[in-house]
Amino acid sequence: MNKHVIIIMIALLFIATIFTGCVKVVKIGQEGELTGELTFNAGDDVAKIWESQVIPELSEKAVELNVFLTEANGDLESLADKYGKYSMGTCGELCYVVQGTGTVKEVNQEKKAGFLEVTLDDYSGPEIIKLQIGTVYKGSAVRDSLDFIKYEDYKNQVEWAAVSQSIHDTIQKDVIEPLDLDSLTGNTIEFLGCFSVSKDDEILITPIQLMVR
Amino acid sequence: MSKLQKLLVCVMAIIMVGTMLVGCGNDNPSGSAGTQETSSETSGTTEDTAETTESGDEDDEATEKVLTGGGSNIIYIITPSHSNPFFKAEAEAASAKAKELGYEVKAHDDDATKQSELFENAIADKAAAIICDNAGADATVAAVQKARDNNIPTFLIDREINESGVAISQIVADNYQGAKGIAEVFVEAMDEEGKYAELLGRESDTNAGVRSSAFHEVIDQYPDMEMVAQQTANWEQTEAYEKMETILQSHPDIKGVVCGNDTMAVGAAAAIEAAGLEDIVIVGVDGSDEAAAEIKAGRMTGTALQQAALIAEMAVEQAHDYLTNGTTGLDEKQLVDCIIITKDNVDNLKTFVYTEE
Repeated sequence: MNKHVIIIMIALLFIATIFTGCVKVVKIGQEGELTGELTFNAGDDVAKIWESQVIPELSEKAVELNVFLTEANGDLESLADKYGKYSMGTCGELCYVVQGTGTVKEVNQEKKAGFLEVTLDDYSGPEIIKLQIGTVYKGSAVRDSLDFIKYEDYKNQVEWAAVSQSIHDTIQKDVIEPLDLDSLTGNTIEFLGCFSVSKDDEILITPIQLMVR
Repeated sequence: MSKLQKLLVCVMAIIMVGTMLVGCGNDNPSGSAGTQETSSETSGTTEDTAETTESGDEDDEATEKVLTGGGSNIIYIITPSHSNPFFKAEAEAASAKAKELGYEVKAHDDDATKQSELFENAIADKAAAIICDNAGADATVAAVQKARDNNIPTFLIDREINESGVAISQIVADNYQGAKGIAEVFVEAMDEEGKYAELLGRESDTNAGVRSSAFHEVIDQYPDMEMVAQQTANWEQTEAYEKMETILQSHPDIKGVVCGNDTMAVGAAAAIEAAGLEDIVIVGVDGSDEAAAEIKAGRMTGTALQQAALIAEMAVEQAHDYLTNGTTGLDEKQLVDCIIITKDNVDNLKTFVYTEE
């Protein structure tokens, strides 16, 4: 009788071994190692690349805005080959990376898509220069200016859109929130940012760096 | 217990251990090489997984391999029903471009569920290439793979599939960007506040969800915008009219309606007019001529044009380049921007084609 119990227990032990042996325990969040489909987390993605890749790449690409506007002479698309990046290779949305120094003319927070209007140093053309200050950000100029990430690397357009959202969250937190917006009018600021061409007389820049002198 | 029984127990134990090892042996290769999404989706048992994994590896090699077409000079154009002018426009643009480049064209607009059948027909006809506005981001992968296995390259238009490396090109209308852009117009036209309703597209369609989430990415940032109703009208005009009538009965004070497509927006605009209401902000997505007429008449505020004809022509050109040179020279996945249409630029829009002034 005793022997029977022992034999059954041994058998059960073997069965247990069979199951545990074949079942691989996968920790939550690491499923991607098995399926090849990595859990997408745009927030982490952007935080990881912000200082190390985004800012260096854009700083290097940036053209001085006053030089750019003088050269464009009212036709912003004319400099596409020299400084710009089209969303579809040779057509589509045209983005430029620019930097500059100017005086804050107005801080406009009437609408949720707030902006600073800036008078650019050493430039007197007719264009209105605006810097987005959130909390709502229009467009996706920063994402679309970057060369090292592309749509093909993401599963679909929702995830691709999430990258831009996450970039804007980072900008809001790291660039805009540390500023005292109410006291900015009249101050000199230095900025680095991206814009996509929509109107020839208005430039709406999404800043990735904004410093008060 | 007899010696025979003991022996039996031992033998059984050894068999069990053996089974265990064999079982794990099968499991490991499929686990480590199982990077192909298709393998996990199409397979039920371990052996199946191993098999599809192998074919998955071949698929990787095939990515390098140039597909030369089935042998005939026929380009298959597969789209959903032409009762929606959007699909009609894209199919016609693709056909015209293909004929211009010297191909014979077989265009099909049957029900989306027949899509895999149409792929079979294309394979039987030894098609040179397939241009397809696909019926499902996951469901279509197998059909495109089958065409690939038969040396026929597929070029997807309008919508993407959840897999890369199977089709040659995926030329996708950026629904998210378009819906987001028109939502910005919507919020601005409503002065960032007030009650509004949303009409959703057919739930099973990926784009219904994509567009709605893009709308809400923008609108939900405005605390004074209040959504009082959200219903599906299945992309349909009549259904949108009826749903809108009902919504207006309980919420006669709404200031705006955001719609997943133009067909529903046109239906909503008619219901609002019939109810004698004015100055309600209505936006849609697609850029149809019907919506353009409503925008001109002031009954709709705007729409996001998906450049159907442009996308279709791009696909045919890329198919031609690929068949001629063995490469398109472009990324597989390409996003085509939507153009935001309001009364300011609506005159430039005709049959899903936007012409710069």
